[in-house]
Amino acid sequence: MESKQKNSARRMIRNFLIEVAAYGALLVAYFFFALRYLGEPLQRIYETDLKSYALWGTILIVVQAVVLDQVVGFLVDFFKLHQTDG
Amino acid sequence: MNFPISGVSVDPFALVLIGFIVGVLGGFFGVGGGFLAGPFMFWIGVPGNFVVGTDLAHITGKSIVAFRRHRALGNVDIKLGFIMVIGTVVGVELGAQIIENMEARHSVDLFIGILYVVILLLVGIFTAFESIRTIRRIKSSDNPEGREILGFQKITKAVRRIKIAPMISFPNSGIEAISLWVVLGVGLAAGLITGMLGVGGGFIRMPMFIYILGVPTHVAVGTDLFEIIFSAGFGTITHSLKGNVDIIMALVMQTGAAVGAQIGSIATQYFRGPWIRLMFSVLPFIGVLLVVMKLFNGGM
Repeated sequence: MESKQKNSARRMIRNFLIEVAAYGALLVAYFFFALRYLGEPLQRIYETDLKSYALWGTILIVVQAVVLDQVVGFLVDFFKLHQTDG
Repeated sequence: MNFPISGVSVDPFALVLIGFIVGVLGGFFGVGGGFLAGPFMFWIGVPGNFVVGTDLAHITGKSIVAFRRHRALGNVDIKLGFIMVIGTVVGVELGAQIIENMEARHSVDLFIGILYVVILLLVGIFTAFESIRTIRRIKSSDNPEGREILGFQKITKAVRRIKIAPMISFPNSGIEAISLWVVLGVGLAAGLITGMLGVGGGFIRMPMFIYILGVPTHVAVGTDLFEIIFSAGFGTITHSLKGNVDIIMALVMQTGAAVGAQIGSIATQYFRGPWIRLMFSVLPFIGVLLVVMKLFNGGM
């Protein structure tokens, strides 16, 4: 019983670490991507048309949230790391 | 790192860290966390006019991540969330109108500050009192599993006795029948306070879900996040139209918030309702502290 609990806790910590590592990699890549490819066009839209800026900004926020969630969800499924039985 | 839209250089890792902290709080308690993120953003050098809008933008994204995770755990009542959104939107507009009318005649900053402090203190003290009482009851009773019980059910019982048609049910929240007008009224009241105080209102709505409607704590957290997506999303659009949102900064913050929201959401599985409510009761006191500091300093 005790070893089962230990395994569960170990698996939970491993899942967290994998999730954090995946996000960390995405985060570093994202800094470069966001600044290099998004910074300039978004600034141009911001200066010329605030309605388009509001639209694109909201779309980007929603898309990033869904993509980040799905990527990590995929990784967790791929490595069979479900741990919601705790 | 230079953010061209707001025209400032801010440490991106500080932004990620703020996002992460607010994300954990949001995922665990179902609050937006703007009351905490705002002052921190201001502190690290984000210009005042960009703080609120950018914060709302990242809260929208963070709430989507936390909502999806809570939905997977069965902690969201979509039907209840949609009805509450309707009441909240009307309430926010009403609250904003009231403040606008008052501002035309007097300076209302002090009035709003005091009202905010009183409401937060009431929420904090009541939630702490109720959750401690419930935890004691669980420990001394034959309810070792600590299934969802409340130490204070008078309001919920009184509300359930209101039988104004149409009556609707919310199976995901364990509510067999409740008047639609009561749910809309609660949404309206929460929205009114939000509109008057200019805050997201998660820490007002969450206790309302639990103590007035009788929604289980875990479902209240998930459903509140669902509602925050709409309220913060709406706020993001209106602030963007005024040019007060730095989307790149919000996207960077969101990377940290997404991790935090996942951790916070998953962590709710390991705590029972009363313990979540007890920890939640600390948040309003932090809010009070920040408002008092603001009132005395006249700053952010």
